[in-house]
Parts: sequence; structure tokens; C-alpha cells
Amino acid sequence: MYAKHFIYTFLALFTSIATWAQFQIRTQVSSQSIGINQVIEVRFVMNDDGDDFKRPSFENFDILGGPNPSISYVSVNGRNSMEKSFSFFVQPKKKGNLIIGSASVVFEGKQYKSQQVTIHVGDAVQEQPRPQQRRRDPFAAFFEEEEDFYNRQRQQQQLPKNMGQGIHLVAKISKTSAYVNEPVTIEYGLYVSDQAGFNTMAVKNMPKYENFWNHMIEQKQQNVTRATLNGKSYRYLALQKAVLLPQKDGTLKIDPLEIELDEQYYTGRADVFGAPEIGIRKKVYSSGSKTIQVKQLPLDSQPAGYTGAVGSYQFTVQANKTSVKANEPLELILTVQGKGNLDLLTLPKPVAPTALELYDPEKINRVNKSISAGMEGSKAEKYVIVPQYKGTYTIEPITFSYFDTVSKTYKTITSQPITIEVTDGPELPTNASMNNKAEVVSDKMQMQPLNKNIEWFNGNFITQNKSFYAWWLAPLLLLPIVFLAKKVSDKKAGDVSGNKLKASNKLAKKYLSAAKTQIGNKEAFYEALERCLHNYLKAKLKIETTEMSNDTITELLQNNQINSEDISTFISIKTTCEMARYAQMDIQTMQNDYDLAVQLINSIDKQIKK
Amino acid sequence: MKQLLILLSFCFSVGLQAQEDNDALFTKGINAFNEKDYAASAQVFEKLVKTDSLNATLHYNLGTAYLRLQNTGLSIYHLEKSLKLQPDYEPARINLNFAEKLKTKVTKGNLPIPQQQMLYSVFNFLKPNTWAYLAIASMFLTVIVLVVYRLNSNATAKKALFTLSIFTLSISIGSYFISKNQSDYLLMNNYIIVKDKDVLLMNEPRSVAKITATLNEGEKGFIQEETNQWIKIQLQNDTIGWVDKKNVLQY
Repeated sequence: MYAKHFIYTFLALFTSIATWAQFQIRTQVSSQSIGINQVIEVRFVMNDDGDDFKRPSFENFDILGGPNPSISYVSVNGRNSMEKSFSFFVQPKKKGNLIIGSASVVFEGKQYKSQQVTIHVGDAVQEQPRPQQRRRDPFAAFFEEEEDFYNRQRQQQQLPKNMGQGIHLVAKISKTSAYVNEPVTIEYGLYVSDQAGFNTMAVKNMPKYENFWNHMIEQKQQNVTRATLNGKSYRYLALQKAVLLPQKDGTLKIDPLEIELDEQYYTGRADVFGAPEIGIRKKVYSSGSKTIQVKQLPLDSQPAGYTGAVGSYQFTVQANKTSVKANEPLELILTVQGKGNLDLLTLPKPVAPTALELYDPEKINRVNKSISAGMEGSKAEKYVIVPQYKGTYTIEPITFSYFDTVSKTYKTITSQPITIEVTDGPELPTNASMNNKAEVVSDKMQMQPLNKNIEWFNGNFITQNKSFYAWWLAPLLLLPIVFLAKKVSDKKAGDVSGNKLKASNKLAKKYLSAAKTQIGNKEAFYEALERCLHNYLKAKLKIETTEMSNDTITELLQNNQINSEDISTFISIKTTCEMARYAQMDIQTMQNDYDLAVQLINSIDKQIKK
Repeated sequence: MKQLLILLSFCFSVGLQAQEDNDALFTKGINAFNEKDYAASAQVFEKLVKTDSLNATLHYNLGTAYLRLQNTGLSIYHLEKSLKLQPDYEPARINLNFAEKLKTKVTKGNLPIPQQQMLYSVFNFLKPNTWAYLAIASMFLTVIVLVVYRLNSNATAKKALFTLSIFTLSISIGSYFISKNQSDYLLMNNYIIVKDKDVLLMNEPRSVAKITATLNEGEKGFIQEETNQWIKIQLQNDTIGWVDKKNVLQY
């Protein structure tokens, strides 16, 4: 509403003063200074309906679009005005100050020419500025025609000409010269002057911190503070903070941080309400690369147990109790406190007697990183010790050395020895038994040497060979041969009578053995003995039982060349048998008679064989 | 006569000349080991093992050389083989423990033990060939005793001789079976050792089959089945699968 009133008042004033009716043609360009890759709009504007428009030649430009004619009529309070324009989009062909020539138009028989315009063409612009949508309004003609007046009206509102020039991206490092492992802090900050502003920010390139251990300092919130740079006051925003530990000596380079800002700038025009028009363009800022001179730690004076600590430290060793029972745990805490490369240092290891069982430590790190101090805090290792045997044990003094960056020398801190009293528990085993045990273990633990005695085998199993079976089973073939041979030889030696003899021998044996069983039973014994003798003779001398008289027997035996002694024995035994069967006789003679019969049979047998 | 010659050639090994060469090589291998040139030592013993593949001492020495060379698969294989040939050889057992420590992953669990292994351990006090000679000798004795028995007419003597012949015959048959069992056991492969790194254990005996597991060098498996190219094995953790023959050593 206010704007409307303003316009009406303005127009009322204007109509009273202005002297109209003069034809005019003017040249308007969207920008007087451009990059070679940019496009400008050139408009030729006349305030009445001129004919026969002739455009300039645009020698140094390419015409990308146009002519775009436009005509507008305005009628205010019965007074008519019009505007006619032709616009072209052109792109410069070369750099430098280029001139756009005059356009001509004929009005009421008279030729009018526009003024020449010089355009400054500079280097190519990477990101083409994107002006916010131009506000075009139907009253533009008024503003353009009444620019002087408009400027007078806004005399007091000076446009800040240097807008967009007050932004600086700065990297600050705490020191440009450091030792290896000495913490260095770096802070990237954005300085923005009161005249400048930006909408959004995008990181284009993050530094990689090669050859450094880097620890980012996390910022809980980003606060804009005021800071001065080169004597001027700026708004300041810290973008990134980091603690860097150089890992290598020499000149180390830190890559720049690059960010892209959507920067606000004044287009040089004003909007419909007179406020200066703000455009947004993208611009890349770089912090520039930084270098740090890194020095090697002096090697010649390095202490023996140095583990890489650089800074300034305090070292303490504490036990939570010094008098315990066996199998009761106690804690030993090693602490390093101070400023320096706490993250990278290693704590020394305590040395305890074997009777104290030492477990792996629990690590407690309390490290703060800040821009002012770099890295500070404490690093601790908590060992749990369980004593096994009764006695008094000493934990050897522990040394911790570090490189002091202030005095530039190595410093060594040695802790006090700690004595632990184990009051209760089993006795320590004697050394002898311990040694023996160790020996046995070590023997088993040693790799065994080569075996120097070789028995060649050559991998031939004789059971896998067929000839083995020949050798193994061949002797069995011998058996049937031998048995067969024996049988054949037996056949040759004897005949049918021989076989009969064999049978009668058996018979004789049978009867003799029958008689033997009957010893003690007189009648049965002698009967058996007599029968036996008869059978024997039957077999040997081929006589029948009917011929069994004493005379015949004697004759037969004599014929067979049996000696007379045996014959008389035979006769006497026979007589004894017959007598015994019919007369009383002494019992003792039975055994004698049996033995006599056996002897007799053997004797006769031998003589018959001859 | 020919058979007698063959048997004699067994008795005196292959030939005296070859034996002398092997003795020289053996000494060379021992010396190289003592001079800490384990690679050369392993090379020499490898050559010897090729000529005498069932010699416990050679396998032990070769395995120990490979152990020094930190070759997991081969050292485990040769030490295991040495223990198979001579189960009571304590140094091989100790060195095998060291070799087991070279393995990247420790596997626990037991593999099946073939029956023949038990018999082998029991009768290992005599070598398989000695058992075979014993079988032949006692067979000869049996025949001699039987012949004497047949020719003798004394009943008591005959009885004793017959009993003796039964006894020697059973010794002969027993020795034969022991010898046969031992040689069969030594020639048969019951286990495998993985010799390469990251060997694939397949579900089926095909190279495109599903992969059951990945085996580490030195892992041991029990052979269940065998085809031309593949072996079905049982691992210590009872996993069963097929593995390519060229990635494993059998013993």
C-alpha cells in the first residue's frame, strides 16, 4: 500500500515538472564489465514508436539471440506514454575494451542515434554469476527515465562499493619449526567483514596432512566471534582445528583448505523499492599452503630406553598396596602426565620376579587436545599382580625418558623401587626342583636334531612279490612226496604174509595186554597167557590149534631155527599155564611168567625175522 | 634257481654300488643340515626319499629340514609319515609338535584310526620283511619236523614231533599275516596333509561344486573315498568334503 502511494505521489510531482515530447533512443547493457565467457544483454530503448530500426554491427561480439522487440503503452491520468525496445544477447569474441556501436531509428522523418557503449571484457570467470531473477516491473520505464531524481531521493543511502571484498580464509599454525613427534596445532578460520556476507559454504578440498599424525579437535558448536585482522575488525568463524604430529624430518607441506562460498554482492541496481539489489555468486577461497620445518631428534644423546616421547612429562609408579597375601591381587599403576605426543608414546614395562604373576595391563588414556596446548593429559597402564608364594619381592625401578622440547635435551625419570611383602601363602619351591623341572621342559621344548643312523630299506616288501609264495608254500609240496615215497618203500619191503604178520603181532599184543590186565586173577591170567601164546604161534609158525601138542611145537620151532633155550622156555611157560589152570600155585609167579612171555615173544620174533 | 636269486637280491638290497652312493648322499644331507643350509639338506633327503620311500629315518630328517625352512605342509607330512613308519620314534613326535605350531590355525579333534595301525604298532618290533622271512623259515621247519615224524616209529617221539609241527605251522601262518598286514598298511594311504595355502573343500567331486570350507596349509584329513582326481576326506572338526588330489599329500 505504501509503495502504491509513493508511486502516485511521485508521478504527480513528475507530471508537473517534466517537459515531454522529446524522442530519445538509449542503449542499456546488463553489465559493463564481464568475463570473456559471459553473455550480456544489450537493449535499445526508445520512448516513442520509431521506425526503421537499424542495429549496430556488433563486430567484436557474437549474437546469440535477438532482436527481441517489445512495445509497452502506459496511460496515466490521461497522458499516454509508450516504450519500444529491441534487445540482443551477445557474447564477446575477445578480451579488452570493446565498443558497441550506435543503433539508428527514424522518427517523424528524422534519424536518431543511440550512444556508444564500452564494455570491459576480462578473463574467463569459472563460475558464472547467477544474478537473482531480475525484477522487472511495468514501471521500469519510469525508474529509468527518472534515475537522477531517484538518486537524489536516496542520497543518504550510499551503496557499499566494496561489498564481497572482505572475506579471508586464513590458516594459523602454532609453530613453523618443530621436532619430530612434537605436537603442532593448526587452525583454519574464516574472516568476514561487516560489509560482506555469504549464504552457504561447501568444502572443496580438505587438507590431507601427509607425513603427520593428525588429531582433529572437535568443536561442539561453531560460534561466530569478533577478531581483528590487519587492524580491521572482522567476524570470525573457526572452521577446523587439528593437532599434528610430524612423523618425518625435513620441510613438510600442509595442503591448503579450499572452500566455496555463495557470496552476496550488490548487482549495482536497485529493486523496485529502492533497496540495492543483492546477487549471489560462487567464489572459491583457499587458505594457501603452509610449510613446517621438522627437525630430527638428536640421536647421539638418546637414552637406552627411549620410546619416542616428545614434550614435557611427569612419570609416576604406584602400587595400591605393598603387603598382601598370596593369590590376592594388587594393582601397579604407571602414569605419564604432561604435554606432548601422548598418543604415540609407549609406557615402559615393569619387571617383576617370576613368583609374582603379572597380567596384561589395562590402559587408561585421558588426553585433551586443544589449540593452546596441543595435546595434554595423562596416559596410564594398570597392571594386576597376583603373588604366588610367600616372601618379599622387589619391583625394579622403572625408567621413562622423553625429549624435552623446551630445553631441547633428553630427560630420564626413574621411579623408586617398590617392595611387596607377601605375608601368607605357600613357600617358594626350592631352586633345585625348579631347575630340574626347567631342564625337562627345555629338553622337550628343543627341536630334535637329525637321525644319523640309517638302515636302508628300499621299500621292497617281499610279501608283495609272488616268489615269496613259492618259497613259503613249496616245502608243503615236499610232504606228500615224502609220505608217498615212504608208502611205496613199505610196499616193496613187505608182502601179503607180511601184512598178516602185522595183524598177528597186533593180536599177540592184544592178548598179552589182556593177560596183563588179568594179573592177580590166577585162572583168567593163565588162560589169557596160554591163548596169547597159541595165537602168536598161529601167526608166526602157521600152525592150527589142533596141532598144538608139545612135540609138534618143538619140531616146528626147531624147523624155524629157533634156539633150544627159547623152545624150552616156551614149553615150560605152556606147561606152567596148563598146570596153573588145574592145580594150586603161588600167586607171586604171575608177574614173572608175564615178563618171561614178553621176553620170549621178542626173542622168537627177532629170530624169525632173520 | 631264478627264484632263489631274486630272494638273494632282496636279502642284499638292490646293489652294493647304489647303497654306497646313498650313504654318501645321506652324509651330505646331514652335513648340509649341520651347516644350516637347510634348503640343500632338504633337497638331498628329498632325492633319497624318492629311492627309499618307506624309510622312517629319511622322512624324519626331511621333515626336520623342512621344519627349519618353515615349510608347514611338507614338514608335517614327512614327520607324520615318519611316525607312521615308526610309531615309537620320539624325536619325530617332538618335531611334529613344533611343525604344528607353524600352522596358522590350530584345529582340534581326532581323526579315525585304521585297525591296521593298532596291529602295526603291536608287531612293529620286527620289520615286515623279517616277519616274511620268519614265515618262510618256520614253514621249512614244519616240513622237516613232519618228515621226521613220518619216518620215526617211536610213538612218544611221534606225538611230540606232531605237536611241534602244528606249532611251527601256526607261527609261519601268523608271521605271514602280520607281514602282509604291515606291508599293506604301509603301502596304503589313510590320511592326507594339505600342502598348499587356501585349498578349497568341495561339496561334490567337481571343480564347480559348492565350497564347504577353505583349508589351511598343514591340515590333516582322513581319507574316506577316492576317485581319479578327487579325495573325499574327513577333517578334524568332522567336516566332510572333496579335495583336489594335487593340493594334498597322502600317507
